[in-house]
Amino acid sequence: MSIQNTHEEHLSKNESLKSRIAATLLDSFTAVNIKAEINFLVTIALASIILLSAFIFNTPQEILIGIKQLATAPSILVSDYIAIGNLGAAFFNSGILMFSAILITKLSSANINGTVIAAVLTIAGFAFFGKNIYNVWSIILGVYIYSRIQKEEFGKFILVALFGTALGPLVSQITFGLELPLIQGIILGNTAGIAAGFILPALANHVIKFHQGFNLYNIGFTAGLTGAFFMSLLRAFGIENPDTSIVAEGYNQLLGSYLIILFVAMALAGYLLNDNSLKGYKVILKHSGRLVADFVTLNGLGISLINMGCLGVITTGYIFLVGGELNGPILAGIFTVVGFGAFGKHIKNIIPLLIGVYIASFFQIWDANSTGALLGALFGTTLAPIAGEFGWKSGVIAGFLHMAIVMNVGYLHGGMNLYNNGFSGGIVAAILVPMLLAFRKETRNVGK
Amino acid sequence: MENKKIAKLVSELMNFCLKLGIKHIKSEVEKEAEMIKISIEGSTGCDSVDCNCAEKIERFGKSLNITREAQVDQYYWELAGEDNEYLAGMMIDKAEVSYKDNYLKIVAYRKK
Repeated sequence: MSIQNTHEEHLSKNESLKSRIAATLLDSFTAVNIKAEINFLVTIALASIILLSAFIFNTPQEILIGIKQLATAPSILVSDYIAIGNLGAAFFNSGILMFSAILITKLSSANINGTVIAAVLTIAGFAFFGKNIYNVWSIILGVYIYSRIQKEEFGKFILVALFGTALGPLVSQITFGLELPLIQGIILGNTAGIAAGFILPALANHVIKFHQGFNLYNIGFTAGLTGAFFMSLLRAFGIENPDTSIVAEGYNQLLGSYLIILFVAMALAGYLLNDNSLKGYKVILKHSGRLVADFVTLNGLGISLINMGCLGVITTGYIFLVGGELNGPILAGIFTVVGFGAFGKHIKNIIPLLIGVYIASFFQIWDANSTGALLGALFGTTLAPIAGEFGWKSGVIAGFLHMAIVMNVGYLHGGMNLYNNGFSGGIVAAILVPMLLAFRKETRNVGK
Repeated sequence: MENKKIAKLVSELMNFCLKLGIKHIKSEVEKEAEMIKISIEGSTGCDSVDCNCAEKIERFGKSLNITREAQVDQYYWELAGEDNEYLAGMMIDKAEVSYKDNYLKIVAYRKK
């Protein structure tokens, strides 16, 4: 009898616990849903601005012609869509890909938070040099097939699917760059895209341990390995990718004004959403930025937008300061930094990296205002968590080393991994972080 | 995969307790049909006025109670267990943290 009573008490205690948890979860679920809707609307607004901007720069007919040109380009590094198509077409391509990414996220029931905002803006940026309305789909399909085989919801893999489009040039290069008959090229290119998408999720999980979350562009490192794998296969059959460097010039005044207006507006919108205040910015600056620091979830969308706007102004300012050209690849770099302003980057942890790359240009063979060095500076901020965790001096060293490494790893994947800096960042972090950790431990022991 | 994620979460909670200086830590994992419950408890032995254990515990509790993010869980779970409390928070649905008379008890719930 007593055992029976104890058992019943236990069951009733369990039931009461479960209903308590269910009630709390329901409350938080409603709050999360409202926030998710606001995040969704703000992201849609941003995509609309980018898409509609296309019509400021070119006529619909010119945009259509430009889109055809950029969608059929091999798109390997460095292929500037502003030069290949035109400015309006590049913006239109960016807007369409942003809408597609947001729609796929929404359809897959994933939350639009800092991680997704970073992914959407990274896609927006790379739609100016390498990702287009043709070459991203098979990679996303490959990730989708992987999720089906794993019997998991696709939404759980949304980040890999969106960031994984870094391998878009793999699809475009095989389709249009190898002089194959068009149908054969389309089939082979998209088969490679599906295969790449299929292997990315497992590989991305695995390699993240290599840099311990100190390289924000983890897919860049993953796609670098995958790209190197495919490039090795192509080279085995005597196929080599040509050196490509197509970059636009002469857009500094136009694009500079556009970007400054966009980022100031972004910061102002954030200020309004943040109850007309900068409340919470000091908290953001305290984050090291190491994966996973989702500022939107942790600190709110308003203050994240302010941070994103500030990063946009700083990175655009850097380009002008060193006398660089604003073109497709540079826009990609700026938009990516801005996107990661919702997910790990802030002014305190990116500036040491920019300084490190700039110092490198005095001692190394690349000019600070060359496209490669500018990309090294902007995307080198993938190592921002090193500055955030170990201090600004470590950040400067990381930037200095990154510049040397990034100029050498592109050969491995033949320019087919758009996140070349993420590939390099993974290598720098994997070498530097264990040393910094060891040094930090040693200092602590000495202090004891 | 699920078992590995649970082990990472236990490791994250265990790390926190060790950093607080808890010497005798009791940990328990209950796998139920719809939910996994991870409990961890021990005495901090924190009797100094200057000690900021309570503050650290409150901050840790807040981090554990941020919204669960399925996509983050799936992509970044390998980083859990290494001083990554936000990630742990994004991998669980809810955490109950109590700290009375220098005795800490954390119960984390993860729906399957």
